[in-house]
Amino acid sequence: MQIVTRTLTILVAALLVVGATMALGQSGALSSLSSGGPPASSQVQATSGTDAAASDSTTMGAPPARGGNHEEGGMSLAGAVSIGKNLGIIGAIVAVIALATGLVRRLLPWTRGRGEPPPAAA
Amino acid sequence: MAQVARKTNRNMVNLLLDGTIFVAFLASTAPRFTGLAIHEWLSIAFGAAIVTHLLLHWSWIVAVTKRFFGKAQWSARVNYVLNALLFVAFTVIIFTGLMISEVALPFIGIQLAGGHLWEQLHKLAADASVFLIGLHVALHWQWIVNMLKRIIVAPRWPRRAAQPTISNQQQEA
Repeated sequence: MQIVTRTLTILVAALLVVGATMALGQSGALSSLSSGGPPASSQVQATSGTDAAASDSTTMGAPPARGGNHEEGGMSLAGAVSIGKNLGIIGAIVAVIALATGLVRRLLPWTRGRGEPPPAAA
Repeated sequence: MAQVARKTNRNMVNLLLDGTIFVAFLASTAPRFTGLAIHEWLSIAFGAAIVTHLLLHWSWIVAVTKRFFGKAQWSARVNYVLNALLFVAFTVIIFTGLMISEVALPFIGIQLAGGHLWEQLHKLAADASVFLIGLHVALHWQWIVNMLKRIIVAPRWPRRAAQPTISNQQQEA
């Protein structure tokens, strides 16, 4: 019962995010994102067959060319490169933060434990 | 003794689940690698894995929510905000992904209009999530290293692995 309640809480939180996203989308606050895309009247067609969105899908998490050549192909070299790129970005962030954290802990020893900072700093 | 074993078991479950989620995340951010069908179904399953992850860390979420504006450590606050942003990013990714779905939803007989806006938002949230995941992994790096030491190093070189590890509560925070 407890798990069901907690799961429902998480789903309600997700629904709030979805609601906010839809509200933003309909209010035009996200119109800058849709500028440059196909006009509203042709949006249904866009999802089912053009490569319009594929040309700019060079970002890390970009979906494939929807309706294009890549969707059924699978295991392409570009896909493997994309995974490597994302892994590299994550690795770089981890390295930078781990180094910074190590440095901070060495310079400020009181940050090591879970204890309070010394009175002078508190 | 039993409590320590339970804690270790829980840590193992966390490590396994989180490792699986990480691999699934990497795979689902490369639809050209997996193909659209696997990308969509994997992302839907990913949503379920995220819910499981949140359920496993429920006590931490409740604890930090209660003392967020009170006595919480700054690191717990940073973690909390980061996790909240990750939750929003993943929800947006899955929602917009369903809106522009070409395989999963049509398979169950649902055809949504989709649109350029949802595609752009999907990409934007996916890009943001890569950075957020990087930060999330970075903030838990010490725990990951400690767990891997315990699993890989300890059985082979017990002395080397017998260094103090952070507590369960600390790894959650």
